[in-house]
Amino acid sequence: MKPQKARITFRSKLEASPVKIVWDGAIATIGVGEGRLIPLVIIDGSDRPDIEELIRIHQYLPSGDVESQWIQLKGGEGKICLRLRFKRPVELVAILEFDIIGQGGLIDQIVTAKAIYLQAGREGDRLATTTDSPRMSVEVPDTGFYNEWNRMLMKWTEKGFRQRGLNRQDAKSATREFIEKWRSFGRFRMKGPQVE
Amino acid sequence: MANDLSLYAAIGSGVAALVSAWFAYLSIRVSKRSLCLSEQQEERHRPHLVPYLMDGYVKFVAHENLRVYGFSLSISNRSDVDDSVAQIELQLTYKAPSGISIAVKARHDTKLNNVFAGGNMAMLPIPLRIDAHQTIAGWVYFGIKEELFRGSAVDKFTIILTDSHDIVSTVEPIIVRELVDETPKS
Repeated sequence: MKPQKARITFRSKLEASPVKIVWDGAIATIGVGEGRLIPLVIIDGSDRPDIEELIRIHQYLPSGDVESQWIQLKGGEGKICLRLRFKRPVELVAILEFDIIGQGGLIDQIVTAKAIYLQAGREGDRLATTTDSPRMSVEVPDTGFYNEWNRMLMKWTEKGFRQRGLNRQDAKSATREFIEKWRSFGRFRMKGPQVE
Repeated sequence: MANDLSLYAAIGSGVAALVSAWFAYLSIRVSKRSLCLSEQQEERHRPHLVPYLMDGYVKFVAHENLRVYGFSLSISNRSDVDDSVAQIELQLTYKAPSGISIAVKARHDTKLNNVFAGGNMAMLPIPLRIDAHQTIAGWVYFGIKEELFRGSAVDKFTIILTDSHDIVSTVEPIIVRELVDETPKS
């Protein structure tokens, strides 16, 4: 599906601004998403107390509803955003902005795992130091973005390699190798005990 | 003579024009009324559920640390078409410790029927079919873990009904009475 220009309306300026991501990583859990490696982002809860509250209360309520959409904001060249529109249990919109060169692997993992974990925190928080913090998983189904993402990933990864001094030919082969290796790493699955 | 004839002809045509203008005016009035009737008929074909709140209670289930809200509702289908309720939710608005107002939605949980009167009250199942010009009454239940509120008081309750056409109707309970050992406190 080709990208289309559209005007999106938001309820407030706060919802229209991208949420600050303070850390990212990935978690694979037996019994969740068939053990897939699901990316996790820690967002700055001081900027968005509503998202922080949503993540906290989510642990006391059954699964909610969320719509996801990959978007590129006006003037956001080299960046891609994941717009999450939560409908239940709380209605709110969160925009996660990613840098394609710096966080291409993370975006690729979200696209292939079709899910993301959200956790609220503060500047300096890491997954290792906040293992007990509440987090919520959000499904990100493929809405026709996969092919477009492949094109973007190739273009921007190659650009990144060229910025590091590789010539066009070497940058192309390094890009292919990087994506292949990254995806084989991303295919990792946590396996539960085998039943005989 | 010729002049007289043309005069009569002119008068005749003038009268005929006036008569046709009158008939045109009458037909406009009739068309307007039939358009109005068709619009009213069309309006009656549009799904339209009207909820009415009869009673509302809250009970604390200590061993589960659960706050269970029970509301007695009647739902009328005022349209000419059959409809069904796809979802009934309770939206609770409270102030989080950070000061922001949060509106959280909980779904009608049929498993909570036993919390009030030992499950002897008529409960509304989901999905719920309501035929044209019919009214259905029963109880809806919502369970919320006490930890969710962290001591904050609920500022506003809203019961949200969503029908199979995604049309939303709401009703706002003002006073929810606390139920202790099946005896209302107030």
